Amino acid sequence: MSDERLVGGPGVPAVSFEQVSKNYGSVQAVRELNLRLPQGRAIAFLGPNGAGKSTSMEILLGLKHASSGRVEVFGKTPRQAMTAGHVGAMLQSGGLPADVTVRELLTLMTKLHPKPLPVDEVLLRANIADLADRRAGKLSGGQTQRVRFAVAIAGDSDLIVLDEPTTGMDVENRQIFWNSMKAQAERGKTVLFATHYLEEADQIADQVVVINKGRLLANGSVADIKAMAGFQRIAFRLPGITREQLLDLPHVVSLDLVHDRVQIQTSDSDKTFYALLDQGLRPQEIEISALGLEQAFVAITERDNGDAVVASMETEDAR
Amino acid sequence: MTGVITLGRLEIRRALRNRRVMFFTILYPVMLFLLSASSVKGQTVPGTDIPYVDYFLVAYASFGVIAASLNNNAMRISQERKEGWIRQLRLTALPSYGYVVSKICASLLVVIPAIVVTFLVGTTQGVKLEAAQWVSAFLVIWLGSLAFTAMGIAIGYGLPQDAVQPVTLIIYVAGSFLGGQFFAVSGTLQTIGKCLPTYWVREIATEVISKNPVSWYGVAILGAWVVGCAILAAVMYQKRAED
Repeated sequence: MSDERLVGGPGVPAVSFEQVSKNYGSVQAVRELNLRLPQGRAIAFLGPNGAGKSTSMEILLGLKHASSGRVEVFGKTPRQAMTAGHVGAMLQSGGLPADVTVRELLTLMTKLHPKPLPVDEVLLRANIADLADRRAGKLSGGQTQRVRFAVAIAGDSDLIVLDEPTTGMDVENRQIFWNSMKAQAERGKTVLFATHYLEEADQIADQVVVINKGRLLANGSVADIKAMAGFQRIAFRLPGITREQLLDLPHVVSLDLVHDRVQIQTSDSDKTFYALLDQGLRPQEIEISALGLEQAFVAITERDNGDAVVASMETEDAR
Repeated sequence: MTGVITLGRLEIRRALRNRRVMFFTILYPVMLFLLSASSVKGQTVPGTDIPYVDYFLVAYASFGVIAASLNNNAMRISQERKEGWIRQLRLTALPSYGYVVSKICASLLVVIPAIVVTFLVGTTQGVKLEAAQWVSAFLVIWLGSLAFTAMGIAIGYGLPQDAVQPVTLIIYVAGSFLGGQFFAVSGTLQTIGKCLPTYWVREIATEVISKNPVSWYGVAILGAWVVGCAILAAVMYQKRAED
C-alpha cells in the first residue's frame, strides 16, 4: 500500500478505544469501552437504541470528547485523523443545506478533503450521477441517503463511517449501495457501519461489534457472535421427557420444554445432540437449525439485560 | 484555507440566489428610500443643514445592511444547526473556525450590493456627493456591518431555534427605529439610540457625507458593539461545540 506510511502501517488499528467513558451528567452513555478495529475490514456496529452506539461513533469522529480514556484513529486523535483526510463519514444527524445542488455540495466536500476525488467519480461511485443538478432539499429519503454516502466518500479516506446508511432506501437501492460499499472495502478501506438491518451485517460484515448499555458486549466474526449467542437451535418431540434429563447436556444456552416439545439453543449443536443420544434418548421430529445474526443479537443483548433469566423462569413456572 | 474560501464562495452564491435575502437587503430598503426621499424633497433634517434625502440615503443603505448581516446570519446559522449541516462540516478537514469565518467573509461581500444599489438610486434622487464622501460613507456602513454580523452569529448559535426568528425581528425593527433608519430621532428616542450600533453606523456615515466632524464617541460605541458581539459569538460558538 502506497499510503501505509500515512495511515501508520497495517499494524496500527483503524480505530482504538482504551477505557473510554462518556458521561452526560449522571448518565453513562459509554462505560470503559475497549475496542480495537483493524484496518481493511467491513465492520458492523450493532446495538439497541440508546446503547451508546451513536455516542461512540461521535467520539471516534471527534464530534464529542470522551469524559475519560483514549481514542485513536490510525494512531492519531480523532480530529487529527479527520484533518489528515483519513476519515469520511455520514451521520443520521448530519444534514445537507436544502438550497444547494448535489454537485455544488460534492464540489465543496471534495475541496474540503486533503485527498479529493473528482466530483464525477464520486457521483458515479455513489450512483447519483442523475441527481447532480438537483437541490438537496428536493430529494427523497433514499436519494438523500445516497447523497450523504457520496459526501462520506468525497475523498480517498482510509476509514468510512456510516450511521444507518440504508435507512429509507428501497431494496434495489440498498443492494446497489452495498455493492459500492463492498467496492470500498475491496480497495482496502476500513468500513464501519451501524445498522438496524441485521441481515445486512450478516451479509457484508467481516467483523461485528455489539454494544449494549454503553459497554462492549461482543466483538468478533459473524460466526463468533452467533456462537456466542448459542446460535443453533435443536427442536424435537420426545414423549415423557423431563427437564431434569436435559439439564446436564453440554453447550446448552437455553432450554424450553412444553409438554413433549423441546427447544434447545446451543453453542455447539453437534456435541449437544450426541450427548442427548448418548443418554439413550431417541427424540423424534428432529430439527437442527442455525439462527440468523438477528436472533443471535437479540439473544445476547437480552441476556445482558437480564431478560433471558426472566424468560427461563417463566418457562419453569409454566411447567 | 482553500476550504474556507470554497465554503465562503458557496455561502455567497446561496445568499445571492435567496430571493428573501435579496428582497430585504436590496429591494425593500430601496423602495422605502424612494418613498421617504420623495416625501422630504428639499427639506433638511430638523436642527441641521443636512438634506433629508442625503440622510435617508445612508439610513436605508444601513437598513439593508442590517438585514443582510444580522437577520441572514442569525436565521441561517440557527437553521444549519438544526439541519445538522454544521455537524457535517465538522466531519471534514475544514478547520473549526472555518464555518464562522466563511460566514463573516460572505456577509462582508453580500452587504456590498445593498450599499451600492442604494447609493446608485440615491444619485437619481438628487444626492450629490464627492467621490471621497461616497467612499467613506461606504466604508463606514460596510465595516459597521461587522457589528450586526457578530450579533447574528451570537444569536444564531446562542438562542433556541424557535426564539431566533422573533428575537432577530425585534432587534432588526426596534434597532432600526431607534437608530433613526426610518426618520431622524430626537429626545428620549435619540438618547436610547445613542447606545445602539444601528444609530452610530447611520450617524457616522451621515457625518461623513455632510462633512461634519466624526464623533469619536460614536466610533467607540460602535467598536464596543463589534468587539462585544464578537466575544459573545465566540462564547456561544464554544458552548455549542458538542451539539
